[in-house]
Amino acid sequence: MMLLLALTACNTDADPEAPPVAVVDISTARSTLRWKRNRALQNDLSRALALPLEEVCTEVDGSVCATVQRIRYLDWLASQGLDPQEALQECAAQQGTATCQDDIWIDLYSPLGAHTVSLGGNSPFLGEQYQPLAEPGLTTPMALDRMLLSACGERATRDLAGPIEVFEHVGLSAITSGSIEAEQTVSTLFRRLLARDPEAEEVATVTAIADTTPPMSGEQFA
Amino acid sequence: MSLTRRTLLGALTAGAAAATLPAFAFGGQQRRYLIVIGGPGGANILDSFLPVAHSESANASVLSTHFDEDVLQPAGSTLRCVAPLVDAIESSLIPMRVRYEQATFLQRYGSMTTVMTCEGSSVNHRVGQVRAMNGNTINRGRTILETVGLAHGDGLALPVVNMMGGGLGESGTDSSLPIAARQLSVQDPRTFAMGTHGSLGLEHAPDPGHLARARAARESLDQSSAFANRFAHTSTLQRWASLRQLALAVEDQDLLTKLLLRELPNLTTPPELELLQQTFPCLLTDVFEAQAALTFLLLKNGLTCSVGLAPRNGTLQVEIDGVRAIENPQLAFDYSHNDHRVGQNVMWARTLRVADGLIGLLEQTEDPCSPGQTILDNSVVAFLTEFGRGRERPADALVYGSGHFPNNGVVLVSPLLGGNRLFGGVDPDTCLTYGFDPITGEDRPGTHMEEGDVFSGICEALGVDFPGRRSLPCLFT
Repeated sequence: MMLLLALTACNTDADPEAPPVAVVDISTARSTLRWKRNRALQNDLSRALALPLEEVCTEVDGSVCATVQRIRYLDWLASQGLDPQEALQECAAQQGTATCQDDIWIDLYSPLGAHTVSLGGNSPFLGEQYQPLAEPGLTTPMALDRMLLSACGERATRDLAGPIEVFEHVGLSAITSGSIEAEQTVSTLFRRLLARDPEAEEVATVTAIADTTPPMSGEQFA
Repeated sequence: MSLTRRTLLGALTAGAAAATLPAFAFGGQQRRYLIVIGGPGGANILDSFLPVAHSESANASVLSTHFDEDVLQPAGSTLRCVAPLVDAIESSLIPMRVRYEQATFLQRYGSMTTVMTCEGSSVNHRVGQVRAMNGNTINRGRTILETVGLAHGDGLALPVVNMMGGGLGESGTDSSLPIAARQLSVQDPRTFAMGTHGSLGLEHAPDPGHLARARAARESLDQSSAFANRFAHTSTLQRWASLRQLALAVEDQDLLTKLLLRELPNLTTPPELELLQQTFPCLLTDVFEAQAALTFLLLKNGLTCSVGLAPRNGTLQVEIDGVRAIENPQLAFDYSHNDHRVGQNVMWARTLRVADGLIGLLEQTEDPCSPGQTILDNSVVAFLTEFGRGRERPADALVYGSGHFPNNGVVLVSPLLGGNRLFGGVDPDTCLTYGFDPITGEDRPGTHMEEGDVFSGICEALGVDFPGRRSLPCLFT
């Protein structure tokens, strides 16, 4: 859940060893912002949460949320509606072999996934969409939340099973807003996702999420 | 503009904290629906509802005419059609099959079918498709879907949905189009429903109460962070904030369970799914059928007023009468380059079969906005394509290819039009279509109608006006 906050300042990728830059409080109307699209989002989450790229987000039907990879023949068959078993059989039939010997079919990286379009990608080979959306659409916020929740939940689940990579306090049975564990979790995530330390006010805002009755567990807070 | 649209636009530009979907307040105007069924690759009208028979043409041997016995005219129909070319299809280079007859479509919907000749302005696939959709920029570059969505989409969760690919699937180019009328691009209708909720069904979905708290914290940070302070006045961030609020309103409508086309763990399917599976038995393996199924759910649930769907360019194999064969050849209608007669016959059968299923459902479903009427009563179904196909063939050849050719016609199905009519005609000795007088409907050989005329005619039928709209009153006689 903490990762939902990653949306707020999604354009920074500063060197963590560089001297801190003073915050310049000048507002601007010039829009130099760029939409962090599917691939950048996937890469950031993969790096920040120490997840393999293909495992950042999996949808309820087992399909990937959004990724970028070279196209295999099985990918094309899946886009035509074949389930994995049917795809393997069709592949083998086309190759004239007993089993499918799938390999790279189109040696170009292409976006794939249930939320590719919503997250700013486009699938030219499989989806016949030759240009991505110019701007986020109505389903972009929801697709984004699904990707964040999936990635965050996957990391928390893995940390609970061990070894811990990100959430040091994921095994706690209860966590509160005033606890050092909550503050440390927030700081860890700000550093991993935004490459900066959180402001005191930000820590307070985020840790207040844990003010529930009954108290959240460490895993729920993660 | 209606009051509710103005309210919505005001909420968006001011970045209001709570932008709920305004209630339907249409100022008394009847809500109408547009369904665009695309024909990617060049759906030639002479191979469907405006055929020329061999005996009618002085140049039949070198033109793309049809055997007399293949030209059919159902009883009571002004329009003619082409029979399934079974022998040609079954002897074609690649195994293809059809499982639908054009005559069936005319028998069922001929009374509300109008054919209007027209001529495109490009023989480039993408350019032709874009111009077919935007009437060659007759309305400031807005597509027909956006134009109708803006006029009739007040209060709808997803006013404009486009599931088509290529140029048919592109947004318009008018940056002044309000955000509420911008199209929602859907690549795969089978997975689309999952994108209508931020967490439902996910393996790691948090407690809804916890999620709400996290979102509230995020919104607080969005308003107070250094990033927010610096960029809050930019249109980009304001737009994003508005989108997020609109998305919450959409999420509240539980669209995931209303639009799901397959059974998935821990998720409820819509009550209409069984009916859809009967109407579109291949909806999990055929994207076009899935598009039609989703179109029905969007309209029935009062979510959309402007939808686009179309076959894809990829090959689709199905089992028909125990035979596994291709029902959608590679490149769809553009397979005509390889084999014109078979490519057109197969693709028209496929397109009309799925259209039949969808129109049949709309004909028996009550309009959620107009009790007592069906959705079809208030709809126009428009078959749009980028161009026709070349009319020449090698002397007496039965297997030949055809190129891109702008001369063509369109099919419109709607109770809002006169129906069972042909506007314009075809010269049998050249197989070129010609135009008509938009006021009287009289034939005007030597002229042609343009993309803008088709665009205008559809808008006129749906009660949509815009600066520069042409008037074609003959369509309603």
